[in-house]
Amino acid sequence: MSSNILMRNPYAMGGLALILFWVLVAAAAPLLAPFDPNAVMTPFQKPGALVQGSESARYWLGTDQLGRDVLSRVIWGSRTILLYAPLATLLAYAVGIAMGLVAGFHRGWTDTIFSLFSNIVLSFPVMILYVLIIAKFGPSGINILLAVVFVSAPGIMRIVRGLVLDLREQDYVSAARLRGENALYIMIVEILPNASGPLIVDGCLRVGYVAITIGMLGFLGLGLPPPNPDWGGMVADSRAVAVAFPHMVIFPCIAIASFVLGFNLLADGLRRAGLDGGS
Amino acid sequence: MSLLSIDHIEVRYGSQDGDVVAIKDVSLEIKAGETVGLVGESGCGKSTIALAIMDYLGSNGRLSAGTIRFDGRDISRLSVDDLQALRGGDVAMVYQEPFSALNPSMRIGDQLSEIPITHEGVDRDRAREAVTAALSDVQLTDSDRISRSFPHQLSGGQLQRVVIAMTLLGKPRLILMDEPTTALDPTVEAEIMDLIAELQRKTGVAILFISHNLALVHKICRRVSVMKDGVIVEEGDAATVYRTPGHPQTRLLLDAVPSLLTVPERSSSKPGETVINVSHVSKYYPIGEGRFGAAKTGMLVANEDISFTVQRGEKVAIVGESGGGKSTLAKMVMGLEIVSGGTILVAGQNVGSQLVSQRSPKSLRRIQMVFQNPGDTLNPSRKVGAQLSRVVKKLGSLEYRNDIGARVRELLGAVDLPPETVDRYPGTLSGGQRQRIAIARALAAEPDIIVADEPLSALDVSVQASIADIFRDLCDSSGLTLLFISHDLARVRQLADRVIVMESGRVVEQGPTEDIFAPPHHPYTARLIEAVPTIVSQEGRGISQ
Repeated sequence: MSSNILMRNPYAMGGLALILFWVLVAAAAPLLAPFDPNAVMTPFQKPGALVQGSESARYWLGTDQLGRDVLSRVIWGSRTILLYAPLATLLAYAVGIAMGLVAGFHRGWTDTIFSLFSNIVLSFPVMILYVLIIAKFGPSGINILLAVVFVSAPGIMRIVRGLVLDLREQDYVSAARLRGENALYIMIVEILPNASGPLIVDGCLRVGYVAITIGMLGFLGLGLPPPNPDWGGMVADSRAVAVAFPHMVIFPCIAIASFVLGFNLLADGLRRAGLDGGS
Repeated sequence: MSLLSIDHIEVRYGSQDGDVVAIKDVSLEIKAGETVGLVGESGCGKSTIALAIMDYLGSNGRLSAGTIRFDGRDISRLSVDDLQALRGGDVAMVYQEPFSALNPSMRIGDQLSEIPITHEGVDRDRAREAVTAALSDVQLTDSDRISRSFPHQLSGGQLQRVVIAMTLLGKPRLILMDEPTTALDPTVEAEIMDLIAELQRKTGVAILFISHNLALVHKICRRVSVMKDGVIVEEGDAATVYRTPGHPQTRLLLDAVPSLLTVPERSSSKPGETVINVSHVSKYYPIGEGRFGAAKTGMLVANEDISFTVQRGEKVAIVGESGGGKSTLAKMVMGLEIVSGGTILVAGQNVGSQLVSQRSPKSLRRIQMVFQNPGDTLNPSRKVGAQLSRVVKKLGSLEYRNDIGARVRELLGAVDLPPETVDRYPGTLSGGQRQRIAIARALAAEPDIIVADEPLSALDVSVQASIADIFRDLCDSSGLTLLFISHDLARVRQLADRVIVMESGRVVEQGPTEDIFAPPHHPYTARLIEAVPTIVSQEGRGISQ
C-alpha cells in the first residue's frame, strides 16, 4: 500500500526520475560523452562553441581552462559519485546498524562505550574531521569511503539504537526469547526488519549528504586524485576563472544539486508514504 | 424539539480503491438532558458518527447524504467561526485516551483556564476560580496540586476526570463520550461511570455514550442504539432492548458480556501434581540508572512474599488492578525477569533465578506465554506462517517437524482460523485474529502450561468471549494448565478454577473461584467485584447467559 502512495506522489517520482537519469547517464557514459573527458583540446570555449576544424561538432557545455570538454567530464563524473556515494553510505550503514543493534539490544557497557565513542565523533565539526582523516591518510577512493564510514556511522548508530530500545520491548521479541532464539537471530529477524522503514528514509537523505561531502572533498582538493573527472574537483579546478567563465563551475554544480535533490525528494516521498514509522 | 437530530446520514471515506461507505442511512435523536448509548463492535462506525457530529471527519471523509442538526442548525452549513464556537462550546468530546487529549507540556490548570478565557473572555483569576470549581465537580479535591501538575504526573483515572472537567468548563449542552473508560482499570471505570451519571443529573447535559460494552451503557443510558457495519440495527428503550433483543447483533453483544450472577458449569477438574510452585517470591527494582556507578537511590517493590501453587490441568487466575505486580510475576515465571528472593519451581525445577537464555529447550517447551497487546504480539514484518513454523522447527516434537506445513495448519485450526492465514501479515488481521495466532504460537511449542497476561483486555467484548472459549476448550480437551492474569472479574468467574487476588505486589486472598466470589469478601476483592458492570433486568435477574 505504501508503494502505491509513493507512486502517486509527484515529488517522489520526480526524485526517482532524477536518480534514474543519473544512473542511465553513468551507465551509458562511453556512448554519451562526445570526447575523452581527459583529452586536452581548445581551452576557454564557451558553451555551444564549434569544435575547431569541424562544421557541426560542438562543445555543448564549453571547455575548461585546460581545454577539456565540460559535458564529457560531467557525464564521466557521474560515475564517480554514483559509485562512491551509495557505496560509502551502505558501508556506513553496515557499521552503524551493527553498532546500534548491539548497543540497543545488549545495553550495559557495550552501549556506554559505543555511545561515548559516537558522541565524541559527533561533537567534531564534520568537515574538519574529513580534512584530518584524508590529510593524514592521503586522498584515495578507499580513504574517502573509510572517512565517510567513520564520520557517518555514529549518527546511524544512534538512530538504530533508539529504534532498537523501543523494539526490544515488544512482545514478539519476548516471544522469540521464550522459544530460545539467540541474540543474533532476534536482532536480525525480529528487530531489524521492523526498524527498516525509518532507516531507508534516512539512508536516502544520507546518500545526498555523502554526495555533497564527496563534492566538497573534491573542492578542497581532498577528493579523488586527478585527472579522474569528479564534480567537486571540477569546481575546484576552475574556481580561479569562474568569474569570467562561469560555465566551468555552474554545470558541475547543477549536476551535484540535481543528484542530491533526487535523493531528498525520494526520501521525502518515502516519509510521506509512512515508511518512517509515522502515521 | 431534539437537541441533536441526525437525519439519514451517510459518511464516505475516500481511498485509492474508491469510496468506502462508513455510515449508511443512520438517524439518531438526542433530546436535551438525555443520555443515549451507542453500542457496537470496533470498526462498526460508532466513532465516525461522533466525528461527523463535530464535523471533524478528516481530509478524506465527508458527509455524503443527510443532515446533522444541532439545536435546529445544520452543522454542515455553519461558518468556520460558528463551528469553532460549537466545538468545545455547546458540543464537547471525551476520548478514550485521556493522556492524548491533553497537552503534555502544559500544566493542567493552564490548559483548563484557556477554555473560560477563550469562550467567555474572562480574566485569568476568574478562569482559575472556574477551573477549581470544575475540578471539584469531578471530585478532584486536591485541585491546587492537580492544577500545578503536568499530565504525565497524574493517573489515567485522574486524567479522565480532568478531561471531563475540561468539557464541563465549556458549559456544553451535549457531550460525546467515545469509550471514555475503556483504557482504565475496572475499579476506576466504575468510579468514572458513577461520576458521569452524577454530573448528568446535576447539570442536565445531554450525553451520547459510545461503547462496545452493553453492560456499561446500561448503567447510565435510558435509550440505546446498536450498530453493526455502519448501520443502526436496533434502537429503543434500554430496558426493552436488553430484555427482548430484536436483532442478532444485540443478542451477540449481550451474550458476550460475562456476568457475575451466573455460575458456569465447571468440569470437575481432577487435581493433578503441582506444576508451578511459587514460594515466597519477591521482586525489587532499583530506582535510578546506576550507569557509571551512580548511586541507586532506592528500591521499588514489585512483588513481596508471593506464594501459590498451580496443579496440572487447572485454570488459575491472578486478579488485581494495574500496577499490582501481576505482570512482573508472570515474567518471573517465564524467565523474562529473575526473582530478587524466593523460589519458583516449574515441574519441580527451580527456574526463579534463570533467565530464558539460561533455560534448557526442554524447560522452554514446557511453559509458553500469550501476551496482552495484540498490536505487538506478532512481528509485523513476517508472515503468520513463518512465525508459527519457526516455533515448530525450534521446539516442536520430531513428528511435527517432519511436516511443518501440516502442523501449522493444524495449529491454526485449533484456534479456528482458516489455513490461508499463513500467507497474511499481522497488519492485515484484526486484534482478535492476532490474539488467536498468538495462542497458536504458544501451542506450537506443545507446552504443558500457558501463562497468559491479560490476553483479552485489549479486545472487544464479543471477541473476548470467543477467545475465552478457545482457552477453555484447550484446557478441557488437552489437560493444558492455564495461569492467566486478568482484571475482569466477571470473565475470571467464567473461566477460572482458582483465583489469586493481588494488591500492590502482595497476595491478599486466594482460593477456589466460588469461595472468592462468595461473601464474606476481603475488602479489596469486594471493591473489584463491585466494579464489574452487569446487566440486571427490572426483575433483578441476570439477563446474560
